[in-house]
Amino acid sequence: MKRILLILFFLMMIILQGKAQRALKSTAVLDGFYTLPFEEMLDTLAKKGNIKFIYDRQMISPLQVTEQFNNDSVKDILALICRANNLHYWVESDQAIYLIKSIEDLPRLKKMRYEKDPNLAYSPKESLKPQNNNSSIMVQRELVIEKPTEIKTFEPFTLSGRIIDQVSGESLPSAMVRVVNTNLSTTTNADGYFTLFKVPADTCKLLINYVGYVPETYYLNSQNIKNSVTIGLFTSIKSLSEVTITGKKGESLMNLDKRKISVLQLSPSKLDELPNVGERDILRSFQLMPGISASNESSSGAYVRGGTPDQNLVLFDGFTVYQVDHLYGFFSAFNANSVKDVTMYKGGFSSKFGGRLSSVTDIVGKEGNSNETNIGGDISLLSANLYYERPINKKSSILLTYRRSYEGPLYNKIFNKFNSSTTVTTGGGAAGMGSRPGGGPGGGGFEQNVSTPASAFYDLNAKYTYAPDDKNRFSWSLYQGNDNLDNSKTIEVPSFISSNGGGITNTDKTNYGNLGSSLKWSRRWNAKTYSNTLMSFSTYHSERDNSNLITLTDTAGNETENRIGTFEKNKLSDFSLKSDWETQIKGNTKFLYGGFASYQDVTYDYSESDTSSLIDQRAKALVAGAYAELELNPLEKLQIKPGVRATFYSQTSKPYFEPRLSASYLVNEKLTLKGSTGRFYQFTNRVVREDILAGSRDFWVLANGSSIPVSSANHFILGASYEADQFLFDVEGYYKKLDNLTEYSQRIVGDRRRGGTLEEHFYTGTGYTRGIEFLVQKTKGRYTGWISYTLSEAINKFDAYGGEFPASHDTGHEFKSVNLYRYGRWSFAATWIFATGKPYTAPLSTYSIDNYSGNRRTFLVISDKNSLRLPSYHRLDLSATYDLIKIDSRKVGSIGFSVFNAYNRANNWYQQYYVVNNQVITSNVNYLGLTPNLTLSIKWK
Amino acid sequence: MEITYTHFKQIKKLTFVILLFTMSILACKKGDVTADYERPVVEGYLVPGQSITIKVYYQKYLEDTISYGYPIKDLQLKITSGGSTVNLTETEDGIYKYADGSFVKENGTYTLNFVCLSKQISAITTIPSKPKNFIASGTEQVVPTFSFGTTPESFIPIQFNWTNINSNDYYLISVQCTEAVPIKLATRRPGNNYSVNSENIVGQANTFNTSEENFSYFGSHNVLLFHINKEYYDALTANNNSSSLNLTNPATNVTNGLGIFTGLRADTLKINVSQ
Repeated sequence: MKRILLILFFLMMIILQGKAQRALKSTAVLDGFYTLPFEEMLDTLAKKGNIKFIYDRQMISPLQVTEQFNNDSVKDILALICRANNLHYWVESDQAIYLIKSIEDLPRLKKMRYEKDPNLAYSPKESLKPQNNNSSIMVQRELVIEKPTEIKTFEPFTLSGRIIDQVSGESLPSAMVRVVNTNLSTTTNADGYFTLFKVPADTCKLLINYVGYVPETYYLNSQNIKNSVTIGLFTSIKSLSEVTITGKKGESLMNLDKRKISVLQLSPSKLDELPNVGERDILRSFQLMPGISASNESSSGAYVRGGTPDQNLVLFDGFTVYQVDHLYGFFSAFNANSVKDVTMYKGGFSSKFGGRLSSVTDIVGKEGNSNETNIGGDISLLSANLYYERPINKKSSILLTYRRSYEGPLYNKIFNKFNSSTTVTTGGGAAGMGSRPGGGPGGGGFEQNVSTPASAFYDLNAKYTYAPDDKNRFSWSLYQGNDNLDNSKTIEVPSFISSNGGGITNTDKTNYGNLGSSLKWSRRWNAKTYSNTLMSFSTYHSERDNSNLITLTDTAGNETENRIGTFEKNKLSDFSLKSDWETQIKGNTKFLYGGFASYQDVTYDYSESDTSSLIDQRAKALVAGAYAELELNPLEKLQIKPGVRATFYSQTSKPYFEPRLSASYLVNEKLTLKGSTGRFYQFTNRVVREDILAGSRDFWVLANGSSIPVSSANHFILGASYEADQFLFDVEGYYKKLDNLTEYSQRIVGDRRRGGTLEEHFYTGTGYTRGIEFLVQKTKGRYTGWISYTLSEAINKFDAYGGEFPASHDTGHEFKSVNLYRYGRWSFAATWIFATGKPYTAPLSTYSIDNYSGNRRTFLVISDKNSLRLPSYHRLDLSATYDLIKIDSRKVGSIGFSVFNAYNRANNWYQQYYVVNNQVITSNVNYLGLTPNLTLSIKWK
Repeated sequence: MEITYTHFKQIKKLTFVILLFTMSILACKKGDVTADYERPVVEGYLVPGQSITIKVYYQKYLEDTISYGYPIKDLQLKITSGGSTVNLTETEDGIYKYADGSFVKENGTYTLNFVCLSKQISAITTIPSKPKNFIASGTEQVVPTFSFGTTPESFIPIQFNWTNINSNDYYLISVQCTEAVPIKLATRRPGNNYSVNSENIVGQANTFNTSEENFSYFGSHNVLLFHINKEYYDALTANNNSSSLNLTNPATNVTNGLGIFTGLRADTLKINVSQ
């Protein structure tokens, strides 16, 4: 509690500091009583403070100012009169000030300026003459104003540039840049760069779209095309009045690029609008899209199109992250404050990516504000997080973020979900030995003194970016996430058992996490060639210590100690080097190519009672290869991307070739047809124990070509999207054939106290998944959102389980409705998820026989694997968020209230069976019930 | 204000259509899986020199409170070994016997056959060889006295050793009280219903240390080391997990049935238990 107060205090300090802060840099003061029209007031302020105002005359002219000032600064006066008239102002980087009612007014004013709209007014007035190029009217960024009157250049030319966040200077990857009224379009690369070929004329307009930002129109002219252009976008802010900007693409929380197949893009800046369980969750928010299962509540990992989370490659700033979640999988391990952009490829992805069967989640970390120092943070019922960003000099910037959970009610609620049933289930065959002493019937009636120590998770990110010149960028990124889950207990032995006391210490510690770092060098060799070279390492570790230390002190004062239990350790290290290149060969052909090499070292130990090592695996592998992909546009409306990836895997000493192909065809402006296919291999597998009570939750193993074969998949995807004025319709069908899947099971047989044997079973099988996904998205207006429906099937075939059976994560139907509604500074969200229940295996009957010595044993006869279905899963989540917006239109934070599982649906997770009086009693273990949460986010600037 | 009522209506309509579609597909789905109660449960242990007893039961419903399934009556059980076949007689409901102890011999292979509910049930087993070099570190086992308020003396186990012939053979140790009127020890464990026999499946080990839990009564005990088949080990150490996440079917060597039909071969040592 002390800690929370401290954090709150810290946040309060930030808010107070924030109040004193003005982005406007004028020190002039004003004195006296003023009663005059608003416009004249602006003139006065402009003159006094030597600043420029730009505004819509119609909006401002009816307004009046009547105020007494007493040596008040221009800044304060501006804030005061704006507030009094329900206005906001926007300070451009060069101190030109736009007066607006909402942020959407900003592009409108700029457009008016370009079109020399007579309604647009300037203050001071002399700047009205737009012909005067050198006067103070050139207030704007290079984006100006002068409509070229000279001889028009009709020769098509090449335009290159960079898209950045206007406020922080952060580059924006995967932003859409389109030449209006043509079919020319491109997306920015990881550093925000883009190149457009064959731009027909220097009078063209560019339209730039990026999720979470106000769409921007950039007007080309004979001057600005000579050099590389830099276009700044503004974060979209909910505001008091909504203005419809016709002809511009709407922006939504989740974006689909209609020319790309199975690609989703998410902007973390808008994540706070969604309901959450404790945290803004990047990976979990993808679960609201079709094709990504949303009913695995205990996993923030991505079950993409019938794939498992370990078949999803998660890259953070280029390095592979092996542990992508916290607290047994409930939360994704990435702090939304350190993430700039997330792109998920649901299948059929480019040959640039490999090593996983089903999907790729590519996360790009923030670089840190290159314009000014900023500090901020969030506090919720689950965790607190802080970030700090600052420009170090003109060429470099740094970002630091840290997040830590505290044992609030929400943390404990989830923690206990996974730990409350320890007494009932003791994994493996150790029937005689409960894992918790004192829990058995013998302990009844004794007064027990039980204490449970603390457990927590944390993660931290650091990033340093250095751009010595326009062509080179270096960045160093560090990520560390760790979970210390401690369910240990100390039980004092009552004195009537042992006269001098003693105790039983049950240690149950799970510690897992990931540490990764990358050093990246990106270079624009020329307008046509761009390269990205990355050196990285990533280590994953997972340890579980489940043991009992029994101490007894006898009458003579001698202590005897006994340690019994199991210890598991898994460690994976991955050193990688890769270089990705992009070259524009001709105007309509792009060549992507590169090489990669990674060295992986995996160890897994399973030992018992300190002494006997049951499993001791060590495996090393080198994965190296190269890829090439062409982006062809043989027809204006047709785009084809053939590619191939070749990988050599040292464990099997074999090369693996993965051909890939994707294509899209624009039938007309609105309708796009697309398809893709490819082959995919996976060399590293994660073994997940669903029953977490039986041991550590998961660990990674390397394929060895024998007991764990290299698994492979073939994807076939077809889709179409139709973009209407306010809606986007998207439908995709897929078929995925999986080969050489491995399932692993482990059990201890015999008597655990005497060192029973540990049996390992690797089962190999095949499988397929198929499905069809529908999405209707409303992309514009106060009300946005989408509904999606997925019909899917995931079938595995393992001879060990008697042939084909539905995979444990098979969902059948999934319907999701995401509704976002804005009202002023408020935004409201409601998401509803419906999914067919998961398949499960249940006992059908029992039988009892005596062992040879005449003692009765009872066994459960079970159904075919996964032949039953749990009840349907459905859940409604609600949230309301209020934005804290300052008078100068900067969003400085938000307060969010959300309710998870609003109607308290008891969704079934799994079932437990107990034999009581020979009867089998079934009890349901449910997912989280109604869970409210409160989040406060604050930033200084 | 540009979101209009029509948009809401459109979305509502679409939602409704999709919901209806979902429901209609769900409606035709059947998910019932029924148990195969016709598979009989067999329990039979063949020990050289002893008469044969085979029990045949029905399975139990999940909600049954009976200890064992109902016996299956009127079956014709046959056991074949080499060229000879013997018929078992039903002495009680569901209990089938063959009295001649000389029929079961070491290393012999025995096949059980019968028809139950018009299905052919069978099981096959081989009698293992006698354990070799079975020795004990002592013949007197002292179990420390337990009473409230005192610290008990430590338990000193007797160690048993033997040669694991093929190093991957399976063994079990059965500790049996042979007193006519067993007298209960004062142990830490409460309750009275302790079996006179305790069984420890020791797996592929070649050593066994006694522990306090092996003894509940005073007096003379037989410690039997059984050389067992893997089928016994599999069937009786079967994972009996209790969560739908990790259920597995118990192993059986009975074709079209459940349970166990297996041979065992023992060697015996005697010890005395005192306190």
